[in-house]
Amino acid sequence: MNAKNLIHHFARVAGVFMVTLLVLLLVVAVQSITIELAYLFWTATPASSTEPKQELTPEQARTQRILRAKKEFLPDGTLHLVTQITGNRWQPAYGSYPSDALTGQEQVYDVNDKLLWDGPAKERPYNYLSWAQAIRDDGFTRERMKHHQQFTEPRVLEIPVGTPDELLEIWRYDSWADCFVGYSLQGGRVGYLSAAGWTDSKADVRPFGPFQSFQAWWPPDSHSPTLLWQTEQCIYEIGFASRQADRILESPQGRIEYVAMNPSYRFRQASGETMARTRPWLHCRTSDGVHHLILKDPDQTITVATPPEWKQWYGNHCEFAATKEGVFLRRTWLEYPAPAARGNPDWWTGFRRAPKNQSVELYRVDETGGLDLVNRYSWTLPGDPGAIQYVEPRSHVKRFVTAFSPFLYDLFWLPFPAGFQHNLYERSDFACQFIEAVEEMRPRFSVWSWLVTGAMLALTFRHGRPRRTSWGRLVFWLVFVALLNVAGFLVYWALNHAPTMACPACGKRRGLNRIDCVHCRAALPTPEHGKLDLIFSV
Amino acid sequence: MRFLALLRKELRESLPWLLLAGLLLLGVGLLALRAQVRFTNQGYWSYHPGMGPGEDIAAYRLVRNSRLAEPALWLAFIAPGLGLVLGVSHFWVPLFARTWSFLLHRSTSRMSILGAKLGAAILGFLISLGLVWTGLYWYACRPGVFPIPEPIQILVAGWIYIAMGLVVYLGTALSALSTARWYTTRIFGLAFATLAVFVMLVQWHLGWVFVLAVPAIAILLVQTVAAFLSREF
Repeated sequence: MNAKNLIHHFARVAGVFMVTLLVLLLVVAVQSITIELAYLFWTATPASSTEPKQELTPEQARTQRILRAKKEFLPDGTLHLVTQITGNRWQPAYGSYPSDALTGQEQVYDVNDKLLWDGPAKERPYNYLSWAQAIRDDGFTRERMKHHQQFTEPRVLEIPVGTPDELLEIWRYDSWADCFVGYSLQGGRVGYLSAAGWTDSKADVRPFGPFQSFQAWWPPDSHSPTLLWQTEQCIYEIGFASRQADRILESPQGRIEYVAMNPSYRFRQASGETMARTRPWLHCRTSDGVHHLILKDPDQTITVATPPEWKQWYGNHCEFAATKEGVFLRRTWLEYPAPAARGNPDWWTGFRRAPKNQSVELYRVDETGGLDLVNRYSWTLPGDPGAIQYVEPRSHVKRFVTAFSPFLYDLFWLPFPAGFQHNLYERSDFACQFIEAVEEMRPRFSVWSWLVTGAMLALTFRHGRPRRTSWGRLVFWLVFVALLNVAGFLVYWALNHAPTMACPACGKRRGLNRIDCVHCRAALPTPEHGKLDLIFSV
Repeated sequence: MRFLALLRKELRESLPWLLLAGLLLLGVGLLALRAQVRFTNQGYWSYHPGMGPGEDIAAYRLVRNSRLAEPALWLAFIAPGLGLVLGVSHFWVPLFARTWSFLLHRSTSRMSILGAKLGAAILGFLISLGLVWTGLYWYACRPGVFPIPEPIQILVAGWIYIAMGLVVYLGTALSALSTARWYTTRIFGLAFATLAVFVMLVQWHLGWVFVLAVPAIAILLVQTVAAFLSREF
């Protein structure tokens, strides 16, 4: 085989790959547009109800108030139900107050439904335990970091070190080496900050690890901001003026899933009675279900492993508070088994129909991570017997549209071990979008898909039989079409179409891409003298 | 010798476009850098008001555009544009002007002719865009221009844009050499180049860019070579 033949073979393979990729994208685009158009035109807007609203009975009003109330604990374990008239009445089941909460009018009830207080929230005579807030809400997340690293928008993360009058150093995050590089404004590098701490040589740098998020604040007594740098398995507190990168948590067993902190962790200064009573703390939950508490004043680390059976209930959520008197855990959960897998519509319908108990519990956490139940309050969430199973409106159209999808999309899921897709999903946006597109357009072994594939095979055979140059090649294209359905047929057609003519010897159709007839092996007739080409007469 | 003569001929014919692209990049690059120098000389704190001790800092305030971001954006348009223009002038213009025969009937192989065209395009990209871009980066890193040198990532980003220009050039060449109709597979060379450029642009990890760029260039190059060697002109 000479070099020219080799190039032609490679070119043919590259051509098939290129055309297949483009046609697959074209088919996916047409399918998506069809689904969205059908959804747009066929979705009927439900008529608004003309029935007058019924007034709630006192018992119903009470139930509704309990459902909507924030369940707050005093440090001695007493529970209060706190409701607001103004502002957003739909308070979350857990978490801290929203920022506008203190501006409204507030009512405080005890668990026996006795009104204890009614007045402006900021004048409330009770100081409840203050719970940590997730740092993702105002932090710099992994998604944003990836966005800034895209080549279309090259951006740099730089931390200044200086006095209000003069900038002294700038520390820049180097995403390739996964460390901070310090530059003096006098010229030259001042060192590196990485998982190994401060080093003056790049050779000693140890990467922080896969980035998750960071949060920044500028301590009053410092010449630079402090960063709380979260990776998959570690949390670092980085001070640039002091050139320190302290690993405050390492979790080799599980990935860090959730980090929350109270405001005093950042500034460690008291403002108000609640803050003065509160210790600075950081709460971190890892994928192995362990909660880590990092406390200051004095420095202390507590690891809390909650009972495994807690996980079996739906809506199980734990949050922590720390005061000078002790550390507390608030658990909110529903007495309804959690689904085995996410996105199960049957489970969701059953959940909505069934009445269930919701509970909030307060535990005192000892120094070894042991839990001691202090108080518990339960209420009933009414079921909705009329709840019907949610059906995605696009699914009716999708069933028919995906019949044109390649059978290969179904096979794509078979060879990979469990969890592979999820891991890939975590690592690459491109892979994630590709997997989502494949998952969205899977024919799911439907009968319609088999029928369309059969029709495409028949068309291919009918088209290819007179044009075949060899049986092997025709079989290859039949297998190709069987795997890729409509896209396969379009690729086959684009790359193999050749005009046909009636064979002068046997009268059957024959392609002009080979010199002898596929049926009778007769050679192509020679053009008559003076006639330019036999093709023009075909 | 014949190859060198052909290469010189292709470079001579491409020179106006190469000069235009290089001068455009140099001009906008220097203007943008001058504006950045003026802005930076106002002092760090003047454009980071409210950032100081006792402040809770919104993380995005610590992020800034690279000082070469604006010239890089220009390069992102200039490089594919140059690829398109060179592709058209190397492979399409001879079709329209019916001058392929003059070139192909010389006593040299088709491979030399194609090699001269590809070599001229690659050299053109390297000199007119690569050299200018590297020069701009070098200037931005000189002591005294900016407080600290610019990150190497921006230099690499520019070279990725230049590689994208080469992808567009090969896509244009493949489309020009195809004998199929426009509404069938002839457009696929350009469509594939566009797709490859788009997918490369949305990557955030350099490794993925190379994983995509190398096969894309290889797929287009091998088809271009095969089409040129076998096509009847």
